[in-house]
Amino acid sequence: MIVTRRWLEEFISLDGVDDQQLHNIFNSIGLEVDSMQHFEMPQNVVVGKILSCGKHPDADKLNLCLVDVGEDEPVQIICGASNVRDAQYVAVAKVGAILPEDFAIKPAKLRGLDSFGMICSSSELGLPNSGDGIMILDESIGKLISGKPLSDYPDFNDTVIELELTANRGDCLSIRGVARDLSAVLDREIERLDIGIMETLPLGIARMLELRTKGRVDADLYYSVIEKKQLPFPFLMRLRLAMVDALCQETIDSYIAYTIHSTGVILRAYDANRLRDDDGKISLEISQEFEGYVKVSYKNESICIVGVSCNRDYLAKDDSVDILLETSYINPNILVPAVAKMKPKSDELYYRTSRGSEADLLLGLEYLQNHCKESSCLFSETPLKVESRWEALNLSIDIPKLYSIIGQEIPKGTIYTILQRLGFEVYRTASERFRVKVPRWRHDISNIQDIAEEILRIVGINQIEAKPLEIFEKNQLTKSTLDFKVRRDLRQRAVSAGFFEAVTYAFANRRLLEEYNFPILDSSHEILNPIVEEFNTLRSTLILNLLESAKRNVNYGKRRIPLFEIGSAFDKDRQETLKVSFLWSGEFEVASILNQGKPAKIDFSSFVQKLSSIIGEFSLKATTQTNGVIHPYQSADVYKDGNYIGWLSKVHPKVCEAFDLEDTFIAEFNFDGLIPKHIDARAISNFQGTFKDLSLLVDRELAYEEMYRVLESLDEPLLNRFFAIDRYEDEQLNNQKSMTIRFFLQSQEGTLMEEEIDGIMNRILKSLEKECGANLR
Amino acid sequence: MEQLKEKINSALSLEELESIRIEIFGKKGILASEFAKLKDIPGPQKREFAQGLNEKKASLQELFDIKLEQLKEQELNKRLKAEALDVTMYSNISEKGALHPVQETMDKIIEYFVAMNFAVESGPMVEDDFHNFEALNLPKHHPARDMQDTFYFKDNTLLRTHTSPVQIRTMMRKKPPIRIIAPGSVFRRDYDLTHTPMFHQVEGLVVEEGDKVSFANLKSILTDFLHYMFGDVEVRFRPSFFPFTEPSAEVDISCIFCEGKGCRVCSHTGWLEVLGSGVVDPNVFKAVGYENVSGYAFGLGVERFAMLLHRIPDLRSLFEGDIRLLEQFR
Repeated sequence: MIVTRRWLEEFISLDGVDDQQLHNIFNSIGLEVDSMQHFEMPQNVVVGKILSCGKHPDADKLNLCLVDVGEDEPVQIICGASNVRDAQYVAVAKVGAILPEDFAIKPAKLRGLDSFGMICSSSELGLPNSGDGIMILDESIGKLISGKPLSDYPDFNDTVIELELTANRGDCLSIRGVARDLSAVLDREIERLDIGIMETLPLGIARMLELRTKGRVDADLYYSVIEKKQLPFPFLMRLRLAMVDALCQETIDSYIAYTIHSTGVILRAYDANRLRDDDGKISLEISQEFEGYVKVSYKNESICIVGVSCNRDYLAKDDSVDILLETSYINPNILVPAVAKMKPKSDELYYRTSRGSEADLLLGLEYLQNHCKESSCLFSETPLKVESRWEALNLSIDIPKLYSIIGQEIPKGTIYTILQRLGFEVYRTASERFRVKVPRWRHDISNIQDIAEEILRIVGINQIEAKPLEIFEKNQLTKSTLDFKVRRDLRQRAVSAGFFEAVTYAFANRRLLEEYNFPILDSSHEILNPIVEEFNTLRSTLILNLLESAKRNVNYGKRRIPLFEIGSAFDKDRQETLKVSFLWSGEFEVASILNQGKPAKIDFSSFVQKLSSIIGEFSLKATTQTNGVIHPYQSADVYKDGNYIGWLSKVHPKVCEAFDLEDTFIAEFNFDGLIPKHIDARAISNFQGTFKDLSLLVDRELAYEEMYRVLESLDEPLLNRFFAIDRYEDEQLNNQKSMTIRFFLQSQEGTLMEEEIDGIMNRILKSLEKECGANLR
Repeated sequence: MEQLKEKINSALSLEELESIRIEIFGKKGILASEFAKLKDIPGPQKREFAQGLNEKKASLQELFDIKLEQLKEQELNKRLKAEALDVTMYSNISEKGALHPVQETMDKIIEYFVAMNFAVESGPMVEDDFHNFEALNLPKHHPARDMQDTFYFKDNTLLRTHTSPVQIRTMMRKKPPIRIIAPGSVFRRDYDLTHTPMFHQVEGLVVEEGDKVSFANLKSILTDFLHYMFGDVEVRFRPSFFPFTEPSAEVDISCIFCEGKGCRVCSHTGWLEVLGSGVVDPNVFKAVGYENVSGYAFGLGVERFAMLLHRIPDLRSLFEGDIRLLEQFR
């Protein structure tokens, strides 16, 4: 919503309130200032009266003008604007004036003739463009006196303020509405419109117009007939419409736009003669197809859907002789759902009606009538009305409750004044209670908290003293709070291990997920309105996002790319799970003095080591993954405390190629699998333990997991732990490999005897021989 | 005697000193041969001779011990010197990664509220109309819904446009008092230089029985929070509109780049908008079946906080896993 200071002053006095104060007031009452621009007329720009205007003898497009600029002699000015021929009063930049962008006016010679000054257009003076050609002044800005500086006319020194309105404040979509808010803050009266006595059409409206309503109608409609003879376009109206960016082609449209912007009342002007029956009478039918969807028709043809649109064929033009003026109001709370249901095309006024236009239709009508005073237009004496049923909302307000919402007491007198200034009717019903009648234009007010907001914003939030809330101490360690801590620790460890935390979109490209055989959403669960193709579904893995990020980093010249992300992924039923994913691509170390600038590359063992420094102990089993990103022979399922928690893998060389990556390793875990478990301590033996190594020949294809499983299943209480320490292959071993496993034997009761140790090791060997075909090497 | 002392003193290394030791103190050394003379000395002088010899030996031994210590120290110093490194070469070789500035900012925010006795709550990203809109006093066709261009799914669910549905879920699950914050990803159908289809919010909600909670309480905690986040800034509350709060306010801080003088970042206003807040609208309580309660709620965009705090110029770079950006936060 754009307002100007001078226009506001039509409705409220702003004496003693400078622009900066006005700016602060708007912000503090919730009408946020988007921009503010003050116009100032340059020196030496004055009103000029054109005494004569003729063609330049040597140039078709130039005019030779003699202009009275209030000096002893008129000055000669050459002017290129064609509309100068119709002009009487104009703005003249005299020699010596300096216009915006440092344009200095000097005596000039144009095609051989002297020119002493310039007749200005609005934009040449730094004003918004108020139409083609030069400005033609009239007395709408005040009495015109040749030679009087333009800066002495207040309407040129106006300030334009653009307000960003919140969606609930349709009542401020007019100059008058904004003035009403100011009247509450400044505690000043809103000026009443006084139209006085005006000549009207002799014929009563009912003789010219017939309205037939069918059933219930939820809109208010007033119709007037105007006999339009001449409609001059006052300069001030033109200037202000330019300032608020609402200038129209047709003069009649500009009048309508001016009235709407000023009052907030919705008006439409139709060409009356196109709607007349043979007998000269206008006959309209008003019907409601659906609650809030009100149609006005002429001979079964729709001319208007109230608050939504109109039939442009019937709109009045500047050459229309008689005008049918329609003013309308419809409650946005019923209009908006109706529009959502019927889906009609709406025009630019819908922005206003959907947020709530002014319901005082006479206000708009009279305002327009008042501005037509100078013209020779005649209005019908009274409008013909269709009115909906409306009952004002009354709220009973408990004052202590009002205070408790705000957190501070406000003097009652202040409360009453604020509400009255805002148009509420206030009735004191008890010492601590009052009743308010909510004005029709405040459809956003429905309860005591709305009233509290009105008080709060007008009094000023900054006037409210901050008070800490007293609370009962209560342990707030919810599952999510604890998860947050786990997550933060996990992230810190990942960072210590060298990973950079990535945050990527929860979206994915469905085609890519399919291509790499990751789960995809059931098509019945798919996104209806994706924003771009690469984000046309939800991701089922974070890995593709990390691969994309890695690719981008390669393009940025990075050779060592360790990334991790904790984020949500979705299965085919769109169930959300939190995943923890890692990627390491390219170099393992940072190139430095430590490696003579030749950093090692990432490999399986270093990747696994990095991961275990973050998530702790885990065991690897042959992979069950079916996605197309994994390396078939360097991938594994990851188990922690016997539970599956995710997988890790080298990236398939084809995928590396597709993403321009060097050797890359990836892992994806379920966050839930990484939540630390409760641990009970075991007794520590004080007796010396023994390490024993066994080197065994086994089938080359035999997974260590097989041997692990056999050893795990042994009933050997003294076998404390075991782990693989070497794997060796050469040609002499044929299809076999040598595996060396280290065993740690320890007892709680005493130092182990040689025989006990041999016994255990023999039993271990026997089992491995039997179950895994192992032989001592 | 003086000759021997001279000899010990002249030793340059531990090896040399060792050979001198053997020469003087060894079994066949000079002292041993002197002591051997003892047997040939007659009785009365014998004692005197022995005494003199012992004194000599003791003083030589003392001299030797001192020298030995000296030489050991000297050798150690030599060895240490040989181990000398140019330690300055080992600067800046960290292999540490870095937290993402958005997540790190989120941590900082959460830590404040946890310290203020708030619980962390979470909710699903795929939401329904009721939790995301309807219960938050955003009925269908409400103009405020236009502000939040929504991603919908074919089965009439949607991606949450704010973290506010977590308020609803929490209130439907438990009774007041409630003190929660809900951090998380949210989604809006907007993608340009200053908008990403996903971003992060932190939502806060406090509800108590009766009329306990007021706007003044909200003002108190948010002012303190913003001082914690941004230091010594001015905090300004402006009335605003959110369907789920009434009265509502937007909260600004004085621009941290120009200290309120006006610059490009604050669009020359001197203020930065950082928070939305308000007293919970009774319609929201009605939707979750609460009666006779009062509360406040607030919400903020984490990216905006991170960008302001760390002067990050480009929003989209935050979602690219760009190590050039991330490594600055090591």
